[in-house]
Amino acid sequence: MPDILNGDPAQPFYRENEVEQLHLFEDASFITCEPASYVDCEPEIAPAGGVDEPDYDRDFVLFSDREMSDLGKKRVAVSFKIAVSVIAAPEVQPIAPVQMSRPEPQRPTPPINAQFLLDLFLPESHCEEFLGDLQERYNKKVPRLGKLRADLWYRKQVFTSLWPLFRAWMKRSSKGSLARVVCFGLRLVGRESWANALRKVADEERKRSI
Amino acid sequence: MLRKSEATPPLGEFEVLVLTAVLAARQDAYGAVIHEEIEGLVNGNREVSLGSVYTTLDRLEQKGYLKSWTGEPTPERGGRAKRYYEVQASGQRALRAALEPMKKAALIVEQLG
Repeated sequence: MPDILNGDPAQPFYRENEVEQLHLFEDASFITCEPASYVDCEPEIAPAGGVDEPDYDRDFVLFSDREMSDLGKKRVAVSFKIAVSVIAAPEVQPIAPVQMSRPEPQRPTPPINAQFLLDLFLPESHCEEFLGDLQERYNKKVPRLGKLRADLWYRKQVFTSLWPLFRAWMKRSSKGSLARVVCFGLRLVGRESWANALRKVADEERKRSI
Repeated sequence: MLRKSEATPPLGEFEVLVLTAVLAARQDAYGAVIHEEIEGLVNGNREVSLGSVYTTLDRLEQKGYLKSWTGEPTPERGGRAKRYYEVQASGQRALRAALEPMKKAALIVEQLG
């Protein structure tokens, strides 16, 4: 066992496994550094007889003192160049993040346009609210029951709602007078929106069938 | 002197259901929610149309048992606004008065077994 602590000059400075590590360092230094670095070495440290015979002491000194320092210098130079190029580079405007607009989920459409039926008997404001409530409940029913049954539910709601709405309208507007009923009939017949609404429904049905 | 029936008009069976549904819906009492609450109350034993709910709500408002106001339009309703309802104190009194005989009837039925 060599006396490393007391520095026995007869014994090598390093142990067996350290020799292997130095070989590794040596290889690494040849990979990372150009061979020309030996040319730049100072005469007293540079190998006189070539690099054929390994001299671990010399290699260790070369690697630790010179090659590392050369590498350090190179790194500093490269870092400096990068820093200069970064400073000198024109200011790049940050690219605004692209707003990815998610397509709105398609809402199911009710089977019939009930507005033309309902606005006969309901005040305009109430008609909007009524249709909104119907639409909201219909939207909830479509995923639960399926489109077909939800359509049936919607139609049923519209037609079963007509009678109480009509009765309430009669009570509200006529209080049982026949003249009011006649007025309602005339309003029903002479109503232009009726014809328009019917045409609209027919168009929608035609489009659906196509 | 006013008779009791004139002071607080009696509530029909469906009116009781509607008032109860409005109370149950609390802050969120608008047509669709009230309709759902009523469907839950009748438990599928009766078909309830939204039209009849609306006419009853109108009637109760005319009687002074309910107060209504229009809310904001929302996209899921096709941009249509909601009409919110709130039970007034007179409505709560009328509801209690209407439910009193029912409670007694329920007690008698329970005692009979």
